[in-house]
Amino acid sequence: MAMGSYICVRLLHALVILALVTMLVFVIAQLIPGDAVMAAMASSVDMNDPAVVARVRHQFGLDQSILVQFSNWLTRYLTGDWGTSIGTGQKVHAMFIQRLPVTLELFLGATAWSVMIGIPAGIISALKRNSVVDVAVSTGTMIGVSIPSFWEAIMLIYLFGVVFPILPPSGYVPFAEDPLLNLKSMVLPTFVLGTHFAGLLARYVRSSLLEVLSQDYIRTARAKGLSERAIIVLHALKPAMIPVVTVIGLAWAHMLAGAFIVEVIFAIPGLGRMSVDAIFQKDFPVVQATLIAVSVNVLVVNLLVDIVYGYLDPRVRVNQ
Amino acid sequence: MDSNPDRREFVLGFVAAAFGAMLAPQSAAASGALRDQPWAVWDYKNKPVRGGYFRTAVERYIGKMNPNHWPVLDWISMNYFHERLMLTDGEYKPVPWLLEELKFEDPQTVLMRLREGVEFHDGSKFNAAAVKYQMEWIRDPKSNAWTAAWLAPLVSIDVVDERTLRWKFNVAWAAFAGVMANAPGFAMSAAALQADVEKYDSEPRGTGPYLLEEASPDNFLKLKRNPNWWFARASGNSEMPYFDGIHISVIPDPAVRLANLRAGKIDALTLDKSQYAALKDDPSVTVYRLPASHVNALRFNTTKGVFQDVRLRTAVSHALDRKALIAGTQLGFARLASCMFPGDHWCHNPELAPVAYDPALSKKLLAEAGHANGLTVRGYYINTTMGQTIAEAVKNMLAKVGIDWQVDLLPATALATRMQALDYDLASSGWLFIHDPDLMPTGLYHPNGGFNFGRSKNDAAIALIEAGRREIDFDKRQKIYWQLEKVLYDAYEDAWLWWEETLVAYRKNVMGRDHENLLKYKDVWFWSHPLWFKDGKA
Amino acid sequence: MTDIVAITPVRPSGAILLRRAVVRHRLAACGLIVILLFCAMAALAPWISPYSPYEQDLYAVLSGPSAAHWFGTDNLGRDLLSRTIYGARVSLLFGISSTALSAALGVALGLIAGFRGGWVDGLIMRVTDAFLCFPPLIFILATSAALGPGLHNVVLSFTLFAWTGFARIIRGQVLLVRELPYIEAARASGLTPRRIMLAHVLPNTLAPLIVAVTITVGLAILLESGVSFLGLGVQPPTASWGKELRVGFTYLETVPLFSIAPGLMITLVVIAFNFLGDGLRDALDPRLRGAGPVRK
Repeated sequence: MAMGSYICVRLLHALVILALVTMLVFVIAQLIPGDAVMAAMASSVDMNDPAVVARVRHQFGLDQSILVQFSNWLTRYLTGDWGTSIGTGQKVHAMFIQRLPVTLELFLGATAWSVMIGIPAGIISALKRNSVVDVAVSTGTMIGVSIPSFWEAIMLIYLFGVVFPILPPSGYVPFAEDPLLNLKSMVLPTFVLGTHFAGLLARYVRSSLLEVLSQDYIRTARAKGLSERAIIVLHALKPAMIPVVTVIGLAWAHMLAGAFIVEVIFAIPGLGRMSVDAIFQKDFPVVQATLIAVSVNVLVVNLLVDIVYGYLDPRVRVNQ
Repeated sequence: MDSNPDRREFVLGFVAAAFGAMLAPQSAAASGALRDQPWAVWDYKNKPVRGGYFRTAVERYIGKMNPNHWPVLDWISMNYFHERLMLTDGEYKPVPWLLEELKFEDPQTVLMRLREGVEFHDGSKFNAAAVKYQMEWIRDPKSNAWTAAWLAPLVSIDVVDERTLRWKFNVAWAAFAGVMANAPGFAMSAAALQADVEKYDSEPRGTGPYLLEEASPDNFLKLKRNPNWWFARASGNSEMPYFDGIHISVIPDPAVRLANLRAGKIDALTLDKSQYAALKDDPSVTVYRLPASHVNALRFNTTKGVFQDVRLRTAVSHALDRKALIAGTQLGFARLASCMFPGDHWCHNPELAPVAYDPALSKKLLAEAGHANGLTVRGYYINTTMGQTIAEAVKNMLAKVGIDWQVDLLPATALATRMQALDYDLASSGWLFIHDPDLMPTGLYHPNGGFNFGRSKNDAAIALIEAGRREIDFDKRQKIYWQLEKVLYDAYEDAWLWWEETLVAYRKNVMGRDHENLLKYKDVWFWSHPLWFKDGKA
Repeated sequence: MTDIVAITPVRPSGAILLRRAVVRHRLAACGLIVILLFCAMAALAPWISPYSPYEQDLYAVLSGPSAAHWFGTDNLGRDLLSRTIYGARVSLLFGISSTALSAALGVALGLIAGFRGGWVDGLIMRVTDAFLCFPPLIFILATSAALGPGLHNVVLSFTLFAWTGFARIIRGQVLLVRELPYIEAARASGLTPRRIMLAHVLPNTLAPLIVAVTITVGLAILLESGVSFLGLGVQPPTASWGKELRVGFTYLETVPLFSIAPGLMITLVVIAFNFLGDGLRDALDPRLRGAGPVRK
């Protein structure tokens, strides 16, 4: 299949998925029990007054049929009007823009940690299979994947924030305001997130490197007498890194809103916390906007990864 | 995550002063001179020092900063930059603050005299025109003020002169002073409201000791000192407030808030009760214990289901070992409750004693009512950690007398739905910030109440609630509420468990806290006695 | 010298897989032992717990370790050791049942997608992708909130999310296997597609499936703690590790063991499952046999 039609097919798939996602998000948001109006009007003594209730419902468009609500919402969303949050009264779009750089920074830091820890761990694990070193490294990275993140977080906060107070225990300061404090406050949260993916990355790198090392051309190189080191560095490492791209793409998908536990514990005002609070307060506009944005983001990244793959490995295109 | 039983009850409770603290012509509320007040004493051992940013942490970001717009999620911070016309004293009675005097000319007319020399943060004057504009703005449906209903009895406000207003009501409005001690009573700059009402939600212009410096949603609030604070001049303490500013961080998790206190990153913190044990021996902080005007209770559905039978309600109430509940769930930091008004409230009926723990009586009553083999009832409780703890403890106690309480732990919005639908027999209840005596009884027991929805219909109580709203004479009004408590108590209308306490920790370098007087005068003492740092720095 | 091993298609049985994994990979062996120990603990809970996990003592809440209570007591005065032991039941049961359900659903859909091909395959794969667009915890949270409180609803939510992984794996395997000559022969000899799928295709896809199962159990147990963190999940008075970890979190400074015990349990069990999964994967991958010098 030519590159062009490959891309077109992937794009088409992405659009279908997006349609499904949109509907799924809307359905979920509707199903969460509790009434958005109650939440919005929770303070008013006239909650009993049907006129007032009707007025508020009308204000939020809740008195129309589901289909109409859906299409209204969709049209407005596509034109950039993401609505107003029922919970905070801010414009959803503004809330999103405010929190995006924070989450981005979390993600970048976490990726950096996971690459720094995961790739060397995976390489060592592959090269020194079943040795003591392998065991030590595997166990280390495995702990990162297996430990509940909020527990890991609070332990680190106490260790480096209270007992040996070298880092701030929580909080976020924008980079522009105080670069050093910003970086210091990001160390622990990105570490907690990073260790989760480091384990995953190590595993991928390990198996991918092992697979590459079992290829014919590697055996040829060995037979030719090249040192193990030269083989690894010159021939094995680069192709072994291809799956790493996938994992980073996967991490991006998870981290965008999935980092919320870390955001809650470390008191970081990111997208994850925003979406979770919105889910519990039945704040439709925020829930819908965020989940859609997250999904679009995932789709775009997956699309890019697929295209890169298709370019690097023509066999992938054929299998479509 | 949410340590308050119910967010709506939080706000409504705070707003409790709305319908009615009492007001007698001869009460202290009438007199104006600041320095004659018993709480207007500043004889410090150490001289206050200026300087430093006071750092504290809260669970949630404030949200909107116009007190009349929903949602406002942090009223303590709100009080730093908005002040109310009236505050409350040690018995939760209203006292003038931004007002000099509030006088009933007749039951339906009030003459209000404002303090002079008060300015808003944008430089505009706090005068009769500004107050009139604000109150009419609240009443205007286009303003979407959730507080509008509290000004329902208002007919007109007339400006008499620069500092005097005459209010006319369509009924005898006993609760008026209480309303002014509550959300509608926060003085907002009319000029700012007029200029851009939407902007006001994030750029407030009040009269308070601090101005908004920077707001980062979900992250922090930074306030800076107001050099023109009227109270500094009026009280003769020109250096007030002493801090250069206040930094309020939003930290959702209580364990992390404590870690911040430990690490010296914040100067004061309201504690989770379990954190007391960890801090009481910490040499760098002092922990104070304060009564709080919140009540924790269980509500019966008295109009549908088994609890229409008063014997069963009595059985439940006597099956609860309140002392053990306080020891176990509140770690001893709560006051045993007899009825709904806290023990230090002027409406508390001193003749009522807490319901005794008597499981034998419960079993007997259950048998009498035909449930000798046990009873199954349904209900809900808030799903916070504290809520779960209380629910489990109560469930266990009820099980011991043969009552199976099938309690669902729900988040706030789901809970509200069940409450509205009367889909329960026994469920969580309570009230926060009980200042004015009318709001809680109305909310819980009056047909129009925001938290009743028909689950309670005690005619004697309803009559008393309505009488209390109209009785202007202080002593008579107090007796009405005492009678109301007795009526609800005798009917076992609800099971009241305890009145709350708060634990606050301050780092030792925070000076100026006089715990004895704070217990005595509460609200008005707190706001008239700002704190300072030893040596002027954090 | 390197080993030049002829790679022949081998279809190892489950037992052989396990033995290979355990022998080759000592970590996997440890993992298996740990899992079995925890399962034993869960099964024998009523006999090895010193107290009932539901017995409250409101005058002895949040006490540290003592002779009477080795781990101390929780916020309602219940014995923490007993609750930790009983917690194994719920956590392990949750992990295994939600994995079983999602595997069943995922395998069914993956088989159909891989075997049928065409638009059926296309649709199932797009639906899979749609579900995978959501961050796992958020998806499970939202669906749990929609379904209501209770662990069974969390199981359901988890299943709704996790089936996608299984579907993908199985489909991939089916695509590989269905072109094999003996499958063609089976088709030619007139066996129904369903019979072919179940009797011939499925057994060949077991290898990666087993690996995925072990890893998913670990994931499920971790997610249970995440969901408990936000107040959903197990209803009181049931003890689960995730729930105890969450509640104990609040009392971290006063009774550290309250959260350390379940936290450690979760971490250990999840590591064990992960190591087992890794070992199985290693054992299954014939390519790894020729992958260069193996240091012992």
